Amino acid sequence: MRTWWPITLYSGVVLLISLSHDPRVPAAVLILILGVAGRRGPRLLLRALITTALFSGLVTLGYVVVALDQGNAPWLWVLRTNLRVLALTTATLLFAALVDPLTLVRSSRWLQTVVVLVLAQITTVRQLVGDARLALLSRSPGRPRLSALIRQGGSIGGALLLKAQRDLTTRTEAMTSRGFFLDADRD
Amino acid sequence: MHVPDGFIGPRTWLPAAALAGVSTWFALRRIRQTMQAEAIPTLGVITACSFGLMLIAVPLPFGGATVHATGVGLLALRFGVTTAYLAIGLVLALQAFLLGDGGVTSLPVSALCLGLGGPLTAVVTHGLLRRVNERLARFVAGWSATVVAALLTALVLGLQPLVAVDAAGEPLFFPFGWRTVVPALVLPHAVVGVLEGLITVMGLDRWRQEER
Repeated sequence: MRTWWPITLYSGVVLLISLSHDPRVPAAVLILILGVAGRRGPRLLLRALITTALFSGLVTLGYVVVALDQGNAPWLWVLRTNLRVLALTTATLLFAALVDPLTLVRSSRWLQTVVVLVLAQITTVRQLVGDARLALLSRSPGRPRLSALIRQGGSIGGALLLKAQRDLTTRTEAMTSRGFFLDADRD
Repeated sequence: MHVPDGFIGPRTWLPAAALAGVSTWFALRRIRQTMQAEAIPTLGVITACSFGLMLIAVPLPFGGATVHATGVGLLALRFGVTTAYLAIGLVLALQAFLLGDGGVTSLPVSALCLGLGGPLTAVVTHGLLRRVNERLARFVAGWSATVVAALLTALVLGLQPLVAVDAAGEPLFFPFGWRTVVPALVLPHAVVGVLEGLITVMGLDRWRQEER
C-alpha cells in the first residue's frame, strides 16, 4: 500500500500536466514538486534543466525565430511547453528519488530478477567502458584520431558482446545450481 | 534521440503506450517460451550490454559535442529482434527513471522507434545484403537501423502539430511539421549512422575473433 501512493500520485501528475494546456497548471505543479522535494528541490530542478536543455532549447529557439518571422507571438507556447517539460522531468526525478525501481516491477518476480541482474551489472559494464577509454587515452600522446576512436568503439562493442555471451552461461549455471528455475513457472 | 517529456501529446503517447505494452507482453512471452530457464539471465545480461554499448561515445570532429552508439545493429544481429527490443526498452526505461534522460511519456514512442523499428530494420537489411557481402550487410544494417529509428521518431514528432493545436491554431506540443523535423533528425543521424555501421562491423568482427 505504502509503495503504491507515489506511483498513483506520479501517474496522476503526468496525466494532469499532459492533458492541461494552461501554463499555470505545470507552474503550480512544479512549485508543489519543489515543495515536496524540500532541500533536494534545487538540485532536482538543475538536473531537469541540464537533461532537457539541449532538446528544449533548440526547439524553443527554432519556434521563436519562425513565429516572429511570421509575425506571430510565440510566448504562450514557449511558456506552456517549457514549464510542462520542466514539471514532468522534475516529477520523474523526484519519483525516482523516492521510489525504489524494484517496486515498479514488484508484481512480477520474473521482471524483478531481471532488473536486479541489470542494475548489478551496470556498474561493471560502466567500469569496463571507462577503463577502455582511459587505456586509449594513456596510449595516445595527443588527442586520439577519429579513426582510432571508431576502432576502439568497435573493439569495446565486441568485448561487450563476448562478455554478455560468457556471463549468460555463467549466470544461468549459477542460478540453476541454486535451484532458481525449479519454480520458474510460478510468477 | 532522447525526446524529453512534454513534446509528445497524450493522443500519441497513450496509444503508443498501449502498443508498446502489447508488444512487450508478446516479446516477453516469446523469450520465455523459447529460452525458458535462460530467459532471465539473457535479458539481464543483454540489457546491461545494451547499456554499455550506449556508453560508447565518439567526439564529433567539429566542436566539443559527442555522439554515442545505440548498439541496435550489434544487438539485433547477435541476439535477434525480440531480445534487442526488450533490452533496449529496459535500458530506455532505466535511463528515463534513474537519470531523467529521455521522457517517461515519450518512452513508449522511443521504445517502438529505436527498440523495435531499429532492430527489425537491421535484421531485414542484413538478410537482404548478406549474400552480396557479409561486412557490407553488417555496415548497412547498423547504419539503416539508426536512420530508420530517427525517421520513425521524426514522423511521430512531426505528427504533433497536426493532432494537437489550440483554438487559435497554435501547436500544443512539438511545433514543427514533417517538412522541418524529418530532415532535421534524419540528416544528422545519417552521419551518426556511419559510426554505428562501422561499430557494428568491427564489433561483430572482434566478437568472432574472440569466439574462435
